[in-house]
Amino acid sequence: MNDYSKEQRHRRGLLSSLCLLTLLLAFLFLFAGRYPSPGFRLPLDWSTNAMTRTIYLQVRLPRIVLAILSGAMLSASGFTFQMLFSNPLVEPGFLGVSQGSAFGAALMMVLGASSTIAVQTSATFFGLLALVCSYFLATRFRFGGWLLRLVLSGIAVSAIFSSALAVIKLVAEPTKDLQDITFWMMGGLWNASWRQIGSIVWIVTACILILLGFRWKMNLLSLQEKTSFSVGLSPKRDRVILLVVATVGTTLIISITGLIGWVGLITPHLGRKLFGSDSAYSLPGSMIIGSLFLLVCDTLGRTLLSSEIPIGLLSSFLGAIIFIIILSLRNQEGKA
Amino acid sequence: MNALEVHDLSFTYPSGSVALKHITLSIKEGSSVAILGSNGAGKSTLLDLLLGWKEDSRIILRGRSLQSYGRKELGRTLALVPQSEQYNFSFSVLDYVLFGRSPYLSSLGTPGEKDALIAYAALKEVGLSEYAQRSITNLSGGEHQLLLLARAIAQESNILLLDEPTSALDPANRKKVLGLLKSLHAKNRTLLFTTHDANLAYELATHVAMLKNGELICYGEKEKVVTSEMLTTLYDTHMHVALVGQTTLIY
Amino acid sequence: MKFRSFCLLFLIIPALLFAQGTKEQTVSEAPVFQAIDANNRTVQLPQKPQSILIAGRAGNMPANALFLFERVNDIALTLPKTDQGLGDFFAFIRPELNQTDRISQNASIEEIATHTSDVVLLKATHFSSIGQKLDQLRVPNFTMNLESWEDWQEEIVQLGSLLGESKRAEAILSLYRQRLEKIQNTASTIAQDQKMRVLLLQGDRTDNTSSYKIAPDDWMQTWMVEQAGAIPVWKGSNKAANGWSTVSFEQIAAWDPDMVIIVSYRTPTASFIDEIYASSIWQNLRAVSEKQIKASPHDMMSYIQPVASWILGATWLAKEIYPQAYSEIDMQEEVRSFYQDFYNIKDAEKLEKLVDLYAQSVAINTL
Repeated sequence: MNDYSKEQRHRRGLLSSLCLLTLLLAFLFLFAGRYPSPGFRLPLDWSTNAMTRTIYLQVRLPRIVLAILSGAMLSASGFTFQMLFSNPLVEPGFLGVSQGSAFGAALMMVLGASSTIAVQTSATFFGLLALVCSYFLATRFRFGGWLLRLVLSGIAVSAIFSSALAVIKLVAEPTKDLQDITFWMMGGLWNASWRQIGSIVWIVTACILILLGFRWKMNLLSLQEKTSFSVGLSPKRDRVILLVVATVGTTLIISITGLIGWVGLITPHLGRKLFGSDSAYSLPGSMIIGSLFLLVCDTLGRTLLSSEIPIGLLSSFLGAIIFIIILSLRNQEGKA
Repeated sequence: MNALEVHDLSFTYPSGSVALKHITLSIKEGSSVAILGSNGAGKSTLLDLLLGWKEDSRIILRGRSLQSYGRKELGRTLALVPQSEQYNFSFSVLDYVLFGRSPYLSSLGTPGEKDALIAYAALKEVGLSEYAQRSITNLSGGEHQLLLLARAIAQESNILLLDEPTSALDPANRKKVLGLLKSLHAKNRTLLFTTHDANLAYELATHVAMLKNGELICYGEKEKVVTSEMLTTLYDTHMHVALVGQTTLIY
Repeated sequence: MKFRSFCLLFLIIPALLFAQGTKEQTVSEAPVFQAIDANNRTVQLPQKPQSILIAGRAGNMPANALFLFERVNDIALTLPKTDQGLGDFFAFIRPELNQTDRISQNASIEEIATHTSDVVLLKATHFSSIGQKLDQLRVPNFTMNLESWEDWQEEIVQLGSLLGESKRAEAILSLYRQRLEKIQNTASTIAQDQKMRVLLLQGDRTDNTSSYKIAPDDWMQTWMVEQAGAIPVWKGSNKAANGWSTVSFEQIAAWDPDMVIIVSYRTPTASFIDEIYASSIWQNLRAVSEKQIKASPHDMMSYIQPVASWILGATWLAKEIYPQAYSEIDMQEEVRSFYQDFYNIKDAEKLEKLVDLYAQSVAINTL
């Protein structure tokens, strides 16, 4: 019994520490950038120089906030997908959600309806559509286990939306190179502004809070449906709610930031490594790790060089390295 | 009072195959009922229906229709020990047993001290106390079964539904699980278990229901219904019920 | 008997083929029209090309070079879509092009081959995807880079050679040199500490937010700013050597340029200028408070890109950055004379249309 309380306390302590670390870094990174010269610099001319104030409050701070918000949402979403499909190798991209939403956003721009509402609604609609298509296709397939069918149909739906996105770019900009696809394929936070954040922050926060509300129940939803049913859950209903919530949050983030890969796949693993498999702790843990991760990636991307390094490039590169390290480390034998 | 009542229950799968035909039986509180039959007889389907897993209004649980129970209320009344469980995440043994506390938590709640105490007690009862922090992916077959039982115990429900509780166990573990189930029964839990093992049925049950091709061919106190003739009809092969000393042996 | 006939055939057939081969070689030893393209291939045509097809993306660049030769009026052309969003220059000077179908930029090799043109022009970036494949089908094709002044000097000569218009090629280049030297002579008199620090940005709009990009160091855009006697502040910063890369506002503020020139190849430049002047973030920039945010010039194509009118772009940059030093330049006259000398346009109405388009494009700079 003591062990249990000790374990709980330890996990809670770790969560708080990580939270504090994130806030601390967020504060520190406010002083990193390219103005007036590259590197860390204290704003000694804060009161006299309007440019300094502008850079800090209107250029850097929104990016930091967006990085934290995106990291948390993408991680929560990846974690949720992994629990619901009972597979640690799943992320929203597997079921075509990311590609669908990127397609939806690009479609609106090509049609000339590039207002924020139109783009975000379209991104969310096509993201959800991709999810529904993957799900229904899987029920139609006639071979293999449920998970295999789901992954296969997800691959098919992803491919369809990826090609559709490529076609849009090909057709819509005949005299331009494919340079612009960079934004959608590799993502970037350089468009961050308070207005943009304002347009999604409420819904994304609501999505995060709902997923957090289910944090312990997610453990049960990773088991067989009959089992979770027998302990008093409504697994079908709960799964639908969580999938929709995770998808909506993800698509809204993607509509602003483009595709940022690997975050939803890696951070749940890191979360489980640090906090154990109990999602009551590993879900919030993954979210904080995701925020930290994107915070670091974005700060590097906007500070290292004079031109922006797409965040997806950094997240994939660093994410892959971290992934290899995690997989190589062996867990203590028998310990959860 | 009857724990569970079934009135003229039939069930056909969407594919068209008929699983159950006109089943009627009543299970008294505190009894231990074995549903005996060979593979494909419809035992698991019957268990699923009794769990409420498939909708049917002809099942009465403690005097009320099964449909009238809320999810949590049902969870507090019925517990399932499945035949096996697949794990893709390495939960700790304790965390896993805590899952059984779900019907007692609020919608967004997490287990508290009280729940942890109950979970520990359940682990002690099945003899897995030292394994509390071990990963469930590191358990043997027997320990696995005990774990499922512990979770059901933590669920504190009076009625336990068990699907083939000893079919995958070696003799030592079988004996252990059997002993546990007997002690649970002695503490007034109602047990309802499926099995194709007639000896287990006789050892553990007070009543036996025999299911053949979806039909209930007999149901009653074990001394009355478990006879060589009935078993031969059930299994379509010669079966004998013999008394060896104090023990009844079926072969 | 049979055996002997067989042996005879066995000897005769190769002999005939050999003779045939020799004959071909004899013919090709006296090439009529020949040039070396950007991929170092020697392209030979048996006669003056009467039909030309331009394939692949960025087709307006080879088209641009081609139209500098008056001969183009006698050549049957198959062009891809060349409207960058500001109008189609080629249909403007040859209206009959509107009657013919354009070929898709993504046309397959087969489709290109079915047009049976005498030669296919394409950008060197399509060498492996289109050029080599056309070689396999024995369709004569000629690649061009046209990305830098060095490219233009070399490739105009070669294109002239291919068309049998070497004299005209020389004339074109000397026209360029004249104009360029005028700029360079004045630029060389500006002292280093007097040089303006200029930032050239391409505006890009996605989802109602604008982002800005800088050109690679070795692109013509960067070179043009240097020729005008200014310092391109972004030089050394673009690590993505093969394309435009995004810069944050913070970096722009760190450079603190004397002048910012906005280029846009699709969305009207004026919208970016307006947005910058209205932005609460940009207002802190010195170039904004000194009203030094400028729209770049264009008529039907932007002048700030490696098309034939790049020389107008360089001239405009010089004049805009150092109005005193280049006071004798009259841009409208430069535009008019350019189209007269380079494209041999005599129609006054057409000339005025082009001048007018230019004037409108930079009108916002004097507001």
